[in-house]
Amino acid sequence: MIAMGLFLQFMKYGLLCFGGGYMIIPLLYADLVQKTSMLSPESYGNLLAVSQMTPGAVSVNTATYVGFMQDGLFGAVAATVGLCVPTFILCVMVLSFLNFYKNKPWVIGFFKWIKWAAFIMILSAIILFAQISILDLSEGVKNIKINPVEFGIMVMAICLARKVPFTILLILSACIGWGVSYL
Amino acid sequence: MNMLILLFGEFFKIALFTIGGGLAMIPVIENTFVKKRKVLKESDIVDMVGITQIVPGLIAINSACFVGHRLAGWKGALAATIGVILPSMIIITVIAALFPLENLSNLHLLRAFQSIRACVLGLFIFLAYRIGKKVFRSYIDIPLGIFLFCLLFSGMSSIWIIVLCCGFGGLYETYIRVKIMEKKK
Repeated sequence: MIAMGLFLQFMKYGLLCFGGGYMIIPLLYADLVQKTSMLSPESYGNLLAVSQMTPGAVSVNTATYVGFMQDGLFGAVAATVGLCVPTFILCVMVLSFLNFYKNKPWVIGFFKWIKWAAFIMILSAIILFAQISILDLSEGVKNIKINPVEFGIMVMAICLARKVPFTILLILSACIGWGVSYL
Repeated sequence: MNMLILLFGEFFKIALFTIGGGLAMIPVIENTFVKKRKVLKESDIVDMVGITQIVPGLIAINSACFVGHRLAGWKGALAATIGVILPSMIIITVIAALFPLENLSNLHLLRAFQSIRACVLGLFIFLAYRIGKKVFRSYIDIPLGIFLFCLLFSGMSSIWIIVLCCGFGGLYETYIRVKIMEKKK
């Protein structure tokens, strides 16, 4: 029964993540951390980091991880398949009918504006990650501090993102964090 | 049948050796199917990128569907999709079984993870910059962006923001087209 719920839940995400999988981040955050408090914000961040570091599509990794945590192997399969089913069906349909719908004004408008949604979603992912990495909220909201080391890593990642493969950046920042923890 | 096995195998390999998600897969797919196997043309890859923008869902799945559909119909799309998700499922299941997220108590590991999260944050900011360049085209876009952002902060569910954007976009574009038609008359 948990597996069935996971399947439907991830089907919803599959329908909503336009323009790439990172749109799933705020949706999943709302359901896992805010509504059910199954995970702490930090664990959620770690989950996403692991999904980024392992091979394959990032949100497929996330779906498998969340599914496995809730209902073992069944859950993993249910969540992943649920995420992929809407995309698969829509993709095959669109490929069959694309030429007919391509020039309809509502279709054009839809895709012009979907960029806005993508932009807002990535902004909310940024706010979420800022809270669990560079900002130190341990002394309450009024007394926010910025962790200098993490801030430096963030700046480094932004500057090098165009040139250096992301995996190398992740490994590098993990090493920096590990090293700093001994100081 | 051979084509289905080829699609499954190639996408399995692509997913197994590409780190960084669907966007990182596109050049690998191009390399495999255009240069190595010579079953697709360069223009097909352009169409494939277009499809990933149009259909909701993950870039990796969209791309796999497209290539599979081009080469072997819906069965090909299915074979490619299974191929692209299977490595993730196997690897993540193993990691999730060995490595419970909630019970991290090692201080050094915690710090390493915090650094990784900071790095992911950097990647997101970079992504936001790239998307933002496409989104902000004129001065009218700035208050619009602020308005949508306020909606997000007011606690509106992300789902409704997505639906709102797409619904409004569709209606708006239809409205403008109708106006233009009327003027022509």
